[in-house]
Amino acid sequence: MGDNDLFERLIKHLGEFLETDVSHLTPASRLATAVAGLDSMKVFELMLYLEDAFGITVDEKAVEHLDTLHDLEAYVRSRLPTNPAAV
Amino acid sequence: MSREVVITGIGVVSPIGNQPDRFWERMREGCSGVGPVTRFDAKRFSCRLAAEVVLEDPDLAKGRYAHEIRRMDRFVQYALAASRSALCDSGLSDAGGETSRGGVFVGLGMGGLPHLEQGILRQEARGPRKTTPYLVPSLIPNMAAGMVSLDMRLEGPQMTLAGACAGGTQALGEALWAIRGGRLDWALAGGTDSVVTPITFSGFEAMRALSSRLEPGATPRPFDRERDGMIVGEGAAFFVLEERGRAEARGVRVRGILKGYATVSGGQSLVRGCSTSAARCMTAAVQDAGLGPDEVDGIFSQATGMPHDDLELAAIKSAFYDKGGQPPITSFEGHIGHTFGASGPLSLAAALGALRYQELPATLHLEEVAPGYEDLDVVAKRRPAKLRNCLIHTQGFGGVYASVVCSSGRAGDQPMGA
Repeated sequence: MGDNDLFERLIKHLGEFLETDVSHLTPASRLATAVAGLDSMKVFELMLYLEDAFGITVDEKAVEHLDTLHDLEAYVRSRLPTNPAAV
Repeated sequence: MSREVVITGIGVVSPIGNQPDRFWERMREGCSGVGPVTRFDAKRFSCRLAAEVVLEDPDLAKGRYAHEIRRMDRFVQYALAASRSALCDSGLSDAGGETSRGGVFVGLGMGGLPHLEQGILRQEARGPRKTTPYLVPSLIPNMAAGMVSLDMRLEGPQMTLAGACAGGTQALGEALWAIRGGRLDWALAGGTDSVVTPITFSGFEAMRALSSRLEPGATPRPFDRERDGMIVGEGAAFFVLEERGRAEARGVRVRGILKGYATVSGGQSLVRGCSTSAARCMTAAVQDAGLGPDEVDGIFSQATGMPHDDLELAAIKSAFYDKGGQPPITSFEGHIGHTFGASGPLSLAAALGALRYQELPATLHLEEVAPGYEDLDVVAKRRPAKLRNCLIHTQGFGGVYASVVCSSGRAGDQPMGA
């Protein structure tokens, strides 16, 4: 999956999860501030949502260190079943 | 002179309508909200009927908590919808600028059983780490009061009364006493419950408490000789209660007066009511209203359609008919099933409609009153009535009883629908 494809899928799923327009987000957007009201509860729930959407397992401790959407995209990519680095 | 507590706003969510006028119109027409269960496949149960709410409110999930509201169990969403309607009806689009002198009082009997059941099933199917972080906040009993307070930015006390089927009536009464006693100037008070979910049916069928009739037009049958159990209903009703001076200063319509309240415990059984305790509760509520037994013109009694409905008739006989009163008796569980903690507040909404139209609704499906009580005036068909004061009585598992008395407003007050 290409860089743009995965980012676009990520944005699509984020928009579905939040039920709001997130088309303004870019890879440089910061997770903590780019989406209003994205508190810890929503982040926990978002991780479950992304697990189902991408068929991956998310390591909570790794998520704590993600800063931008680019970081999240890279993390999702690393967890995809097709990635040999994914556990 | 004690402070008078008036009702200035009404909000309902019910199986027969989600606006007070619609609710009362359908009740007067004798419409039933009972139908086949749609939330799950009920074929495994003897009872396959329920009185379900249809709430299509595109604005329900709005504001700062839109994300959270969507994740709440239905009892929270119903409380929120009814509270917003009540507040709007009273002319208070927000807290009216007095956030600390107003309280939120919510009664319920069951809470978030549907989400608990779904959470357990999901955990069993997919493992514990797939549990949503909103599971616990979405189902804990206080979340109805909590969400209402957060949504409306209220900063006074929020109280949750888990008094089983009397919980909503207790919420109304405790709010009445808080305002009358000067602790608060106004309150949002009511009850909510929504448990149309398989585990509810399992639990009540184990108690042989549900009707097994399959015709929605024939059950439940409060007070009827042929009653065979209750139908699970759901809904919420909330009211804005205010000290009269505050309401008059705002120039707001007065829908009625909440005049008296009592709650008691008693009985010799976990689940079966006790007529002596119920009579004691009714009498105390009437006394709290400053009335005598001959001044109550109508009784909205819970009467779920279960076998022990006749205990309520025994209580009414003892508290009123044996003491010079002859109030007609009705129950509207035939219209909307048993709504648990919401039953008292929904009965209050019905009673305010009765006071408005000077008419008592029928006890739907009543054909022949339970043996031994044929001499009591149980309303089988709706009829005109001169009504000044009505009693609402509820009771629940654990030997809990609660009654309130409501009255029509003074001359110049404009009740519901005006």
